[in-house]
Amino acid sequence: MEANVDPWREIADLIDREKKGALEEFHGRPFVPGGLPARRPAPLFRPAPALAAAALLLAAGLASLWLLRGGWKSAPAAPEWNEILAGTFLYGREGSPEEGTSAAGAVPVSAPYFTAWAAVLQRPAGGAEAGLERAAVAAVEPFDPAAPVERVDPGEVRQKIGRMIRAGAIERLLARMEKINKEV
Amino acid sequence: MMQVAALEIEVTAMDDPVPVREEAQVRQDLLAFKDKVFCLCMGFVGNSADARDLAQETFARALAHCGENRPKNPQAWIMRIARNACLDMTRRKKSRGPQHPISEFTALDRDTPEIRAGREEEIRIVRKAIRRLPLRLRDVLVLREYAELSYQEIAQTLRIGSGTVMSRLNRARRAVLRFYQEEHHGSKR
Repeated sequence: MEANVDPWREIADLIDREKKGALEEFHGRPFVPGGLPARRPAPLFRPAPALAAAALLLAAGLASLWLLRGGWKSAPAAPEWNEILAGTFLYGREGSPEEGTSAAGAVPVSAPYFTAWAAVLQRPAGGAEAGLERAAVAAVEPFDPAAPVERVDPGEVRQKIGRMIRAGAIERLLARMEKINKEV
Repeated sequence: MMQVAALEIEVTAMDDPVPVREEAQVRQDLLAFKDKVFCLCMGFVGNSADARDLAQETFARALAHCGENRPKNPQAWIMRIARNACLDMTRRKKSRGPQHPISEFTALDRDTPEIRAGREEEIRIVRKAIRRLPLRLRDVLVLREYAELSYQEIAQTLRIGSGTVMSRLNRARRAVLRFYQEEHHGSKR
């Protein structure tokens, strides 16, 4: 035990010096016994940071969507899916409701010539031609994915198109379009 | 872990109660130990900011109960409260992950930066050695070297015999010394 006395002195001096420094600091400030506020456990969920994080995530998500799509108007819509699925078994069946809808949806609705042409066609007209013309307009109306789909017989459609060709309705349509274009 | 008893048990199981005295007087008596309490906390946690918090917490706990009963041996009583508070904090910090205490080493004016850095390294090794001690040895060493209690006072505080205090202190010093020499000489090489 005697052998440890001297080496221990070195360590005791270090401890003394550390203690002295700490005590100086301790005496430098007033000591208020019992003045310590009650410790509260750190909450696991802090509302403010959580809300900020959620807002940031939302903003980042919207920004990335906007960057990817180039704008809000071209956000994912049904026609794109129709185009993708057009070649699949289900979409390829004859008489299926999705036939033709993708083509209709692809028509630029906001085109000025087309709008004017459609307005002229929707004017009241007599005879079967008017009905056929209206049917032609309906075929190129903007695609509404939520609208109920009318199932038609392909044979009947072929007959109607044949009648339109025989009556010269398409030629008249084209002539009228040309006239409208000149007016506009 | 039984040594880390809950404070309530420690406070209520104090020495034989004596008739209630004026609270101000009791407070005054207890405050006489504030330096010793602070040094004890310093020995356990190793930085003065935490030691100050712990000293305040110790007195808050003590003063909250001293109005009811007054301990026969106030020093031993408040030292036990301080020790338990330190162990509570150590456990809390362990659960929060490792932390690096700020050095409180006092540099003398004549010390060069190299000497100061060397001594800070030495005290860091000493602290590390103390932290590695088993609790029963660490208790005795901190009470002796930091709080500067006598063997008899340590025995009263820890409720053990004076012979046990001496043997534990001897073992604690040897362990610290061995670790210090290994680390210190190892780092010099």
